[in-house]
Amino acid sequence: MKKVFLSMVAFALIFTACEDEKNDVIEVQEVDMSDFYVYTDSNNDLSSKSANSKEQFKNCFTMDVLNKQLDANPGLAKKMFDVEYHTRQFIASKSNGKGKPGGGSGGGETDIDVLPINDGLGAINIPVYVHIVLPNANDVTNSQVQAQMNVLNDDFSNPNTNQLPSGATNFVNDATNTGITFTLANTFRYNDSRSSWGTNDAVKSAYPPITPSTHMNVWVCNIGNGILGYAQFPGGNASTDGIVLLYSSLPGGSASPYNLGRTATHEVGHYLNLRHIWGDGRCRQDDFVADTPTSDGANYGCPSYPTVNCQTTDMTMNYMDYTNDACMYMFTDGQRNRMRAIFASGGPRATMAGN
Amino acid sequence: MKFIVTVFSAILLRCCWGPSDFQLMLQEDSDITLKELDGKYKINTLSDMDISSLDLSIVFNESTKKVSGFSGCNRFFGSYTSEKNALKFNSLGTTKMLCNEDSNKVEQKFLKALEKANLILFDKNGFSLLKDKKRLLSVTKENLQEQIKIEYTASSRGVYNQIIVNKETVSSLQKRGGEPNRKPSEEKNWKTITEMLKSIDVENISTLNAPSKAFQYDGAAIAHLKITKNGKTYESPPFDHGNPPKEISELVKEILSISENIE
Repeated sequence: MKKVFLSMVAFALIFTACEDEKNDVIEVQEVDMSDFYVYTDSNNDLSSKSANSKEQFKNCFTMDVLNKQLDANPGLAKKMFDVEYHTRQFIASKSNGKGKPGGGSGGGETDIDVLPINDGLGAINIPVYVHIVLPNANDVTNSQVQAQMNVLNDDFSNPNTNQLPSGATNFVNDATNTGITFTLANTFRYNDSRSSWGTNDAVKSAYPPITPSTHMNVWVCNIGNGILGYAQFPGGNASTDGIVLLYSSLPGGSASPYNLGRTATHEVGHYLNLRHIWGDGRCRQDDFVADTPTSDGANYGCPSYPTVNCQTTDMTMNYMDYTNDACMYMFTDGQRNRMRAIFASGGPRATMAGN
Repeated sequence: MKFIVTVFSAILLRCCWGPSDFQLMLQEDSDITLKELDGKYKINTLSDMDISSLDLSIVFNESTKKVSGFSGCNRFFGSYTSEKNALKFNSLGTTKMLCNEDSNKVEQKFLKALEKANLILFDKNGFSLLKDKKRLLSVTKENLQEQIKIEYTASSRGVYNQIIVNKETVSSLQKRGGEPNRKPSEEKNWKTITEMLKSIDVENISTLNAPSKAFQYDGAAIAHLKITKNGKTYESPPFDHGNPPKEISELVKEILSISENIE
């Protein structure tokens, strides 16, 4: 109780501190950002509750409160907030709904169905540069690279509803065709004796991305420590924009059961603004997608159906979970809407789609 | 006079017509429904002598059928087989320290008792070990309330690392669903850990803030720290493996270094 009271005081302080700016804000459209998080944890997110408009967040709260945790990259939280705000505003404007996409109802098994919105963006094609950085860069063959492109194209278009377990009737409506395709623009090979590159973007500094505003850059190398791949959310630094894949995770590689090319699908999901399906926290922390069930952690391996967490059946077959390549095979309509929104005018990857 | 007769008949009854100690123990054993050997037990009596002040102990691990403990001077370890009330210890070994004569004596006697024992009878506080109806030693179960356990996991799609440390054992597991690698805890390491725990607000670790969240885009394995204390488990929020919240960073470092040393 004491804690609640203290939080309320903190809340009040932040709110009054923000009051000055409040008058200057012209609200274009009401977008509820109350559940948004970047670095803070869900239970410390009170601060963001005061930000029901973009400007308030910018002026008052981001810089003051979040900065303490963002010493490494102070601009990032603001950028991510802007990206999120734009995403919600865009989806809301196209679907006549409220901005807050959250969902994953508190209790019980209710089927939330999100419709694929008509966002006017049409077919979106992403040209891809692949950088293979290995002691012997020919170890990853052209046909593997092409197979990886095929997997991406198939995963982003094929709803694969025939693969759903017979009991998963709730998920049939959710499986989607994102309308996003990928074309291989070029493959670059660099022989480099370095045996592992870690997850701190070292490979990107050594072999910088090429026109990241119009092309998705994919680095294929040895990462180390068992990491299969990592990504960067839209809105991040252009010089490190893209995804990194463990060379053996490509189709035909040796990283079984992660060698069917779905690591790339998962990382591209992050690259296109998707969070992990469990929201990276406890039950109440959301992935900002309404038609994905809540969960309190990742699923691994090849879970049997139904796997229940937080009183709902997990969508373990979603590409944004942590299951084996063979056991993930869908994005949802809500995830589709969210990914596509970043290509809209004003979105972080608008230039990539010519907007 | 009346008193003497009562006492006398009591003794008489008990020794000659009443149930023997062994029968009483059998009776008590049959009343115990949960007969599991798991966790730590303290040795109370050895050949019916009270040795509880010497802190001898025995730890059973039901899943691995391994046994270990403190035998008065050294640490001992080995395996055991049990079926119903039959119990047998196998290939017992010890560390090779020399202590004072009294401790050495107790230790020899204790280890010999373990080797001889072939019967286990449970009672409400613990159990007794016997050979041919003769009680060799009795133990009580260590109070669960006092046992502290620390569990660290780091996992990502291709990564799994779980380390569990308590006063007796360090176990480390590198493969989901695999067999953990177990080693006895070193006393000095456990001391370091319990010292560190004193400066941590264990009950509130769920409110700690992760200084970075690269795990959101797979840039780090997702780490969790769980501390079990007084029968309750407290869990930290997820944080990046390699960059824990500062309040627990020393503890996490210590646990990782302990587990590396047992590989």
